[in-house]
Amino acid sequence: MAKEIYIPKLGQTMEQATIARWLVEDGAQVSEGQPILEVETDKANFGIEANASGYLHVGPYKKGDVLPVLTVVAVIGKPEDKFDAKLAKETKAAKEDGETIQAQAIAIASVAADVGRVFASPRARKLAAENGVNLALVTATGGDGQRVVERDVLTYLSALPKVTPVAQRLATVVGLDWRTLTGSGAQGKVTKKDVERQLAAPAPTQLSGVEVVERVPLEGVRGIIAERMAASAHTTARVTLFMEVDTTEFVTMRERLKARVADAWGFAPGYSDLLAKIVATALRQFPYMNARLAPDAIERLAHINVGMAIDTERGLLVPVIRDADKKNLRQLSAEFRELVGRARAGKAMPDDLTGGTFTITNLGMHDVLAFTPIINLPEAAILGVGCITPKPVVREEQVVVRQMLLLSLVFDHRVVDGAPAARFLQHIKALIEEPYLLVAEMGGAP
Amino acid sequence: MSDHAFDVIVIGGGPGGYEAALRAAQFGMRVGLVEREFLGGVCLNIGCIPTKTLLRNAEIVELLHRGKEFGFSFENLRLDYEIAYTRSRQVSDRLVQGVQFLMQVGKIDVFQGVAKLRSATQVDVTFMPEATAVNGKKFDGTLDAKNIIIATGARSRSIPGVEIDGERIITYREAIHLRQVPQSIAIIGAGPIGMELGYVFRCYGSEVTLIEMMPNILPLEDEESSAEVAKAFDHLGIKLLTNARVEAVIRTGEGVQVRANGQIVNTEKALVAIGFLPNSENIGLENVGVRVERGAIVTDENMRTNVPNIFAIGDVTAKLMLAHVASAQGIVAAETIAGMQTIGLDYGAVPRCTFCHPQVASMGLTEKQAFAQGYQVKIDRFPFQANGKALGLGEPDGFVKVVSDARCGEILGVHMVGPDVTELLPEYVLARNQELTLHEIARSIHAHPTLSEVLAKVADRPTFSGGRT
Repeated sequence: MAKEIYIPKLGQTMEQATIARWLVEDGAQVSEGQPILEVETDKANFGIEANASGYLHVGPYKKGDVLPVLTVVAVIGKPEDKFDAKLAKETKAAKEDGETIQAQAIAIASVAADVGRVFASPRARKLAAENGVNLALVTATGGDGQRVVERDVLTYLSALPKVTPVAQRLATVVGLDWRTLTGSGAQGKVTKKDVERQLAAPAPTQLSGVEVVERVPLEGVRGIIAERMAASAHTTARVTLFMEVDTTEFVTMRERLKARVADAWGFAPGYSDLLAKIVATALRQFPYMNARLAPDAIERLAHINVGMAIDTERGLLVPVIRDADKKNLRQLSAEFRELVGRARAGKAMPDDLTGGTFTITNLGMHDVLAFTPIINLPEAAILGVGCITPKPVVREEQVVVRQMLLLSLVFDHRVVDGAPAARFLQHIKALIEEPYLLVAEMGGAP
Repeated sequence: MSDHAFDVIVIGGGPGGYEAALRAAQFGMRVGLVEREFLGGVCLNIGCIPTKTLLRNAEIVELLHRGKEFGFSFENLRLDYEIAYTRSRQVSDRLVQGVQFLMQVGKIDVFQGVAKLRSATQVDVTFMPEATAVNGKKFDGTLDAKNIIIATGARSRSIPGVEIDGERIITYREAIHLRQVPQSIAIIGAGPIGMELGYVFRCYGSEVTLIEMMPNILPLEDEESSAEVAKAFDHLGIKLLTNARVEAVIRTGEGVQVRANGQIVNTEKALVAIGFLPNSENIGLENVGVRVERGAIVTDENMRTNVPNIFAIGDVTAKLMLAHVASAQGIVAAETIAGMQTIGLDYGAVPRCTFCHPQVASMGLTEKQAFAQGYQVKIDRFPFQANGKALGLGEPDGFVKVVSDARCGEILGVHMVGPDVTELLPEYVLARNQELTLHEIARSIHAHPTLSEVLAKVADRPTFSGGRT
């Protein structure tokens, strides 16, 4: 029997993927483990491998199609097998190979995606049909949560965005989709004013007719970067603190560590690893920096997940080291290496790149002295790291040469005030200048 | 907190001030209210409420005169206006006591006196012993207030060169207290007050002349409404002079002489009802720099003045000088002070009522205004002539007219003349407020046989474009 190839759910937040390209032609012979398809999520590209050897029969999907996770996209079988058109409408239910797939997430997603299998009462079906409601999106409360009943559809309808008749008609007249508007009326109802406000909004600026040699579409990683950076720059109340740090001891420590552990660990810990460890330690001391802004509150976060901005061929990516404060240097460095490896190879799992609570970005290797990075929303701050340079400084009234570094902490003043942010940065400075203090603050390994 | 420190001090106890005070008290704030004359303001004491009582009497009188039509007859019909007057006072007193009771329930400290701002957080109060209708505290001194709501109302405007003597040349203040109707009266200004009092006096036998400077009586209403009422008033025997600018009002031997546009009207009394001026003077606004334009206090849509903790509501803001506007603004101000979510008023959805017979009720733009503002105007009309209930009542005159935007169906204005139309208007206010179109009104079933059927009938007009959704 033919084996089905489907889009796996590779992370908690992953709900759909875009077909990036087919690596094998329809009808070609493939062997198990061979990459056959590349798909793209909003976070990263990843490959899908053949789960059997045989002949590949591709479904009616082409580059650019956006598909929900667990959609069956191809089958592998005998040369005479065909991709059953019925499969195109179906999606995969829970699969036995649970290595990367989280069983629970699949159970939810399969119910949500599989319209044909929703159990619903006739009245619920009638009401849903009248109102164009996708029953799969309705939370069932009948039959122990298995069966959608009429009141579930009503609850669903009542939670949908509302529009006044005048606003709806005006939107139709001017060719605007009112569902895209934010309602200012009672309970978020879209009113005539909301439609008019949208109409009055300035149209996107026309670019002048200069010669263009290449167009990089704002999609995938590029699109996400453009959107996130603009959102951050427009919404946060950014303040930057600069602090000069003497890294002489820190450099010495790193050199000695390198000499002592490189053979045993199989790699030498770098400045980035050490900085991640220092920042994670400092975040534990200053929990108000490990926070985010919700619409109605500042939320301090339970886990310290340090994001490390890295440059890849496809653009900026930020792999996240989870619970960085609880990992020892070796675990942290090894994990970071894996994350960077996957990200650079375009094989990052969506969860590799989400859930950060604080970001470090280092441009020191490019001789940058200091800079003011953009906060990675919804985080509260980002630490910019410049290059370590030997500089004459005054120590005990003598001019001596020390290894100096400029740190820039950009924080969102809506979340943190200047003095508390400065104290956090001072603590990082202290840990860099006197790295043995790390021992004093070391947390237990998990 | 000291006895004289408040979260909110409200200056003025009219329908704006007492509603604001009550709402603020409901939010748990400590509220003081200073009133110099009477709780309930002009509205309850010498305005809306007593006139509505007198108008009920007048309507019955008019009906009695239609005995032949309905098949009853009587001899020696005597009309005692003094009893109508006494009834109007009883109704007024009852409501004023009701407000006093509400103030007690809300634990609002009522001060019987004149208020003046000393600073943005201090109000000087001078006790007014004669203002017994306030029934408030005897206090001379300074109150501290975190927030102040100014609700001082408005007063009658006079004609330049005309001296109101309160005896023969009077305003509504004296007119409401007349124990007998004058034999003849010239009413200057055919707005709601002039129309209502003119109707009352005429029903009780006065020779009434209405003098209006503008081309139509009820000049703020849609022209069709004005014309319909003019027809009815003419039938009642009220003389209407329009396009008539008053040049002089002179006391003569027995009465007064009004000269308007070359015409001379000799009457027993003259009533000046040409409009109102905001009471923005002598309350210390200059001490704190509250911005005033053309006599009216300037506010934002949450009724906040340029001084952040000072609010102004009602006639003193001169937005739409109506009691229910003042009350609604008072609630917005109180909610704003309490930090609650609030919604500013849509002045295009404010009901306007004139209670003469036939009644006039309207909201929003007139047909002319809608055209002038560039809308694609759609007009729908339906007459009470075709309504069974109206015919049964013997009230077949009048109509409902709806001005809407043909493009998106927005209801821009509604104009009604006829039986109890002031009670029919709210359906359209709600519709306008919730941005409903005529389609939704037409599809709401209206009971048969009621006057309200007209509201659905006027809305139920299939059109060639936009009728289907």
